[in-house]
Amino acid sequence: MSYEQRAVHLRAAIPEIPAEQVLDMLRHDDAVLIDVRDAEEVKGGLPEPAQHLARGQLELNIHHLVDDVHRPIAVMCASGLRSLFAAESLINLGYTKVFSVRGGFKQWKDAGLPTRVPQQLSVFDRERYSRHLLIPEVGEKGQLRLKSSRVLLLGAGGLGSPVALYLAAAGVGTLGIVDPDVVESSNLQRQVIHGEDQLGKLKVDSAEAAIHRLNSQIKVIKHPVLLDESNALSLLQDYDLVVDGSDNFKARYLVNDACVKLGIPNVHGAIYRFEGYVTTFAASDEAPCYRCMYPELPPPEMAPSCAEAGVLGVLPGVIGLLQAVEVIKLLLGIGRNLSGKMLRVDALNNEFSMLDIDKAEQCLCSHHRDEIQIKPIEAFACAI
Amino acid sequence: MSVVHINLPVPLRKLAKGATSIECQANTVLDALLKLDEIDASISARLLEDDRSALKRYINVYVDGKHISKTGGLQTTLANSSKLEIVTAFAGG
Repeated sequence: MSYEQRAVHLRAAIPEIPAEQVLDMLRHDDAVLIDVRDAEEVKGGLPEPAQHLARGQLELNIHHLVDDVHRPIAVMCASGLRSLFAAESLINLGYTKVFSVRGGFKQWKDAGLPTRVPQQLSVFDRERYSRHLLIPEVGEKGQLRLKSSRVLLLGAGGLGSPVALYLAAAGVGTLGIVDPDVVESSNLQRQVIHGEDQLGKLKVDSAEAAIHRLNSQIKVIKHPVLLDESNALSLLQDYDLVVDGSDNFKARYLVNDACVKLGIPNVHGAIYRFEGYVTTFAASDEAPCYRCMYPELPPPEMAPSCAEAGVLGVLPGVIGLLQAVEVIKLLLGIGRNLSGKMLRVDALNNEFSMLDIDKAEQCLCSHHRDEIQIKPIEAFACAI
Repeated sequence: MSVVHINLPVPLRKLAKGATSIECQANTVLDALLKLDEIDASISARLLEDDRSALKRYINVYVDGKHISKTGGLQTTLANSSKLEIVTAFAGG
């Protein structure tokens, strides 16, 4: 059978719908519109409600977009011919309600139906992030989401170093860094974003240089200031997510209170000697916060003594990278996060344990956000 | 009496002569925490309110991974080989 004969055969076998009916189908029948044109073709625009899945990837990846074989699917190409062949493939895969959009994208545009210009990765980025693009949970859509994400790192120290480096490598588009300190020689044992040639320089400058050596596309916003009650909200408000790698209790409570008020997830990490904790606070209105777990600051004798302070240099790498994984999952909305759970790592004994954290009834995070005030935190100073 | 295992948080280890954990016999969480005074008489006062009715608000205790607020508080019954974790806040980063 020739190509033309097959097309005639398919036109008789595959139900076609006019472009004008597609929007109704999407609204009322929970249908999905799939544009099967090539990546080059959709650069100029595609139907606003369409998902793009090129013809060559259709059979391999359709289940990621449509997992119910009975869900109606409208298939679109440029003119309404390739979509017949694509629809046949879907029917062969077991999909039961497949339609071809008559006249394709040309008809869609001629009818004045809504279109959008898709965000696309450049050729260089496709290669750079190719290992991400191969993961169904990330893919191009996820990579674009990472690119448009804004993450604030509180501290460019032991925890902030690995988090910044790996989020930059992963392609998180904007990284804010809050740290007023300069690089000291005692930092180099664990703060791997800084090197000997950066001694005496502001950590935010040193971190920016390291991030740009790794990935020049990342926008770094430097905040060389101490977080306090006067600036917490303005510093945090423009970010999607905060990574708490601070080194003192005052900052821990301030960032918690500001995240709760602003509704921003707070990916928390804390380390001491061989032990570390990772969790996500304030992931939603129903989620617990730092104050749910620690309503009161510990007195100096129950917090690690400043005189005795110390940490295994490798440990912030372990905890920081667990924070980075948590950040990526939260930004992409995939997997299970650590909201309501605290992962405790005891590196000396190779023990990982998961502890529950419940939302406390009388906690600050139970109040309406508008009622929450960012108040000064009185805490003794203890930095590791 | 059950034989239970208690993980000590870092700030208490100096008082316990460097031990990271201890084993003791106890029927309840309160029993177990009071047993720590046999190592150093000041330990339970760092963990419990003065009337011993509740934990200090900066202390969390878990039995086999569950917070004791869900299992009966200080009167949570301990089984043989129960593992208690005393968790305090770290600020290091």
